[in-house]
Parts: sequence; structure tokens; C-alpha cells
Amino acid sequence: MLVTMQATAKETAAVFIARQINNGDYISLGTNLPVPAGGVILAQMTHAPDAKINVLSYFVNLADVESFPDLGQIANPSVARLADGIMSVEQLIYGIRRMDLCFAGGLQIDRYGNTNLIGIGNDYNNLKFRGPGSVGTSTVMANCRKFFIYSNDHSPRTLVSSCDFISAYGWGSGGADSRTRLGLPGEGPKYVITPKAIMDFDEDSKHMRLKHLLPGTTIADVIQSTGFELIVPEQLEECEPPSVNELDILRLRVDLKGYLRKN
Amino acid sequence: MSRQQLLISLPEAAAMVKDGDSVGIGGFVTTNKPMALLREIMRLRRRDLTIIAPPSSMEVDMLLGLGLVKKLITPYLGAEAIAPLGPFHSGWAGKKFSIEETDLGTLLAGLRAHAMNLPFIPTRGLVGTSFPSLNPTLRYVEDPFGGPPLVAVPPLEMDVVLLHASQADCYGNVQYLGATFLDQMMAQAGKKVIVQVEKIVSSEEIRSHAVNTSLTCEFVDAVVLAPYGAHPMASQNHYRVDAEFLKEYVRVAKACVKGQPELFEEFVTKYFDNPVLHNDYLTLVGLDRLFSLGEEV
Repeated sequence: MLVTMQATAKETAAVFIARQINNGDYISLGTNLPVPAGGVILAQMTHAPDAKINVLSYFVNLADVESFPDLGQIANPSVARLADGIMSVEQLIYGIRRMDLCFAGGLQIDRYGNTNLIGIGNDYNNLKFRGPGSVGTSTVMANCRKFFIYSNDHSPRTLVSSCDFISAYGWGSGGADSRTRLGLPGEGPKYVITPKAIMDFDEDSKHMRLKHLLPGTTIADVIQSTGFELIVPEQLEECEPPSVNELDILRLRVDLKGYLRKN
Repeated sequence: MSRQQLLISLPEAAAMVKDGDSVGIGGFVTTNKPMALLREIMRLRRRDLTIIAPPSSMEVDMLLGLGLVKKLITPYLGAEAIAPLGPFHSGWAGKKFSIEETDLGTLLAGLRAHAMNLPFIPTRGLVGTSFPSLNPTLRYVEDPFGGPPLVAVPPLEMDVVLLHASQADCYGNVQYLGATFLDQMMAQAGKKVIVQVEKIVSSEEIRSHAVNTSLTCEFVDAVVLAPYGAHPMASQNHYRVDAEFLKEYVRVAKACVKGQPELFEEFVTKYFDNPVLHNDYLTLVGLDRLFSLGEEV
């Protein structure tokens, strides 16, 4: 009986993401982000049957689909079986103005929501670790209406004061006008989500701020696991736990392979 | 006079790729990769290549591992949840090969600029990021209409583009029974375009479903028959990715970058050097394994 197991932090994060999605939103899902993918698909199977989801080139509606094949392999032709239509990557990138929500990952995420998928180190030609590359995040995060940042790792190694390199621009070096000054449309990064916590950004400084703790974490743990001084509000709102229905759908239809059940 | 037929053999196709060429590779991450063509090029050890690829995986990592790449231009190299790969993620970048840092929108802008004979295409996608300081081909430009500066992306030229598709006729009209990813843009920007296909079909069959023709012969220079030619990658509407094969590669690649090249060399000899013909490779992989990849999961 899967539903008797308490929601894990990743499941709670996926449910949080699902609840941010409005019916009708156009959402783009990238590669290797099982928690955001789980949240988006859950939203579609519950309150957002008219959400428009693209998974790379495939434009899918999963509201009535019995189950999703594999959250860990999104770039998978079996997703094509669920597509209403298929567009080229070029059509996808040039249709970016209509995207409501996208997700960025990062080897590093800094206090202003800039992300780095390029690599770690000071010398570009002698990196300590070469990242996978920015995929489409530079172009997409610059142009879409808003985006969430997700990382599987909440540690001072990932949540850094400033990124060694910026592959997707968030709030630059801070300030509410840091995007409009550069002519970047959209609302920028809204939330940073990890298996420990959900964070947002201070309205004026755009400095990262703790919003919710996820199951199994304390404020002290989050502060210690963050490589810069996180803004911690005096009163922390509790993240409303997943309902039985949400967990049921998440486990039995969205995440059959259990990516989100492992912490 | 009769129409020119474009059907050639794999060795003839590989002979179109020379040392020092810039080579475009189609497909996306682990789907629709022209592996039969690439195996032939790797077997011949074509060197000093500039590789231009959409999000890519083992095929580009192997070219790097064999030391065949001078410069790499790709927005992503990995295999999603399977594992990060070997040479690319180790300390080889910047030393054994150089990288021209790009993202999908930037890559598309470069391809489109070349296809349209433009000196550059401006993009907003890189504004504020590290790309203009890492990639020497990029420049900030003023907006002539008075807005904030943009980043200019110059044309990306490719001597030869290698693609994988479902089927084609002998005249080079190519159909994809699935997504085309960036393949059409790559073909429009390439000097020579070689497409390997699962199946050669008649001109009548192409014409009966012309709506499926994603690349007409205007953009194709050669067609190669290569059934199961994307293995171990997926071929849309034909077979899935061979995840076990990729995992085996990741194991040998990781050992290689840790200073134990023996397993990598064994892997190369077994799968890339010894099977001279495409059919020899398929025999080595085996019918049971290949056919099982066609099953629904």
C-alpha cells in the first residue's frame, strides 16, 4: 500500500509545484528534472487538465492518460506515444513568448537566482568539474514568463554566494529592476526548490529567502546547508502537506518508478 | 535523362568526411543519432574535427574519448538519469579539446544565420550571462531601435551534416516518423548533408504521404541505408534506447578518464573497429537484443 507511506520531501516539493500551476498554463519541461516533471504532470491529472505541456518536441496532454512512462528519461520516444502534436526544436524556441512556466537546474545556484550548468572552477580552461551545458536554459529563462529553479542537492556546494559562471540569468546582482534594465522580459525566477526547502526572493533586493521547510528538515539544517546568508522570515509558513488524492495520483500514475520516493 | 539517385554505401558516405572537417550531428540526446555513420568515421579515426551538435550523449563523448575532436559546440552532453559521461565531464575540456559554449537558442541562431547568409542574428537569450566572455565568437551589439544591447551570434558553418531518419526514397526525400528536433535547421545550414535511414522506400510511397516529408531532396546530398543504424540510441517510432549498452559505455569511459584505458580500448575494438560492415555490428549486438528494443514497455 503505497499511500500509507508518508510523503517524502521530493513528493511534497512536486505537490507544491503542481499547486502553482494554473489551468491553461503553457509549461515547458526539460531533461533530467524528475521533481518538476512530476509536479507538472500531477497538476494536469488533477486541477489543470487544460495545461499545455511540452516535453522537448512533444506537445502532450496527460489529463486522461493512465500513467506516465518514466520521469527519469524525459527525452524518450515513448513520450511520443502521448503527444497530440510534434514540433521541431526551432518552432519551440521561436514560440517562447507564450511559455508561462519553465524549470532550470544548476550545478550552482546563487543568492540572486542565477544558475550555472557550465562548470565549477575559476579557470574555464581548467575546470574542477565540467557541467553538462546549459541545454536551452539561457534562452528560455531569459524569455519565458516565469521560472522555477530545482536542485536535488541542497548544500553550500550548490547554493553559493555567486556562481563561477552564469548560464541562465536570474536577478543578476540583485534589485527588482535587474531584468528590465537588460531588456529581459518576464518575471524571472520565482521559487528555488530543493529536497530540503522551498525558497523565494525578497521583493526589493531579489535576495533568496526561505519560504517553506520540507519534511525532515529544520531551519538550522537549511541555514547550515546554504552557502550564503539566506533571508529567514520571522514567521515561516508551513507547506501544506500533500492530500491523499494528490499522493495517490503521484505514486500510482505519475511516478511509477519511484524517483520521488527516494530521498 | 533520368533523375540522379543519391543512395550510397556507408564507406562511401564516410569518405565524404575529411580530417579537419566541421561535422554536424543531428538527433537529440539519445534519440535519432546517426550511429552507423559515426561508427564508420570513428573506425577510420577522422581527426581534428569540429563537432556541432544539438544536445548529445555517448556518440560525442566517444569522439572525445578517441581524441578525434578539436572543438566542440553543443548545448548539452549527458544521458539524463543514466549517468554523466566520461571524457566530457572529466578534466579533458579546455586541454584535449576546446569548447565553444552555446545554448539551444544560440546554436539555432548560428545555424539560421548561416542558412540565411546573414553576418549574425541578435539574441536576448545570452544577455547578462557568462557566454559572451567565454565564447570569443559572440559580441554585444547595440539595438538600432534604441533598446538595451543584445548578443550577436555569427553564422555556424558545417562541412558535412550527419542525420538519422525513418525512411527516404533513392532521390533523397526524407521522412521522419516522429520529431525532427533540429535536423531541418542543420540540413539547411550544412554544406553537404548525409542522411542514414531505417528503410529505403519507393518514390510512390513518399508521394502517398508527402506530408511526412520533413527534408526534401533540395537539402540532402546522400542517403545511406542503415537499419537499426541509431543503435544504441533510440530511433523514433522504431526502437528504444539500449540503456544497458549506454551503461556499459559509461563504465568503460569513467575507467578511462581515471587512467585505466584498457576497458575503453576493448570496447572500441569490440564494437567499433572489428565489425567492418554495419551488418557485422548488428550481428555482434544480436537479433534478440535488437528486436527486444522494439517492444513496448
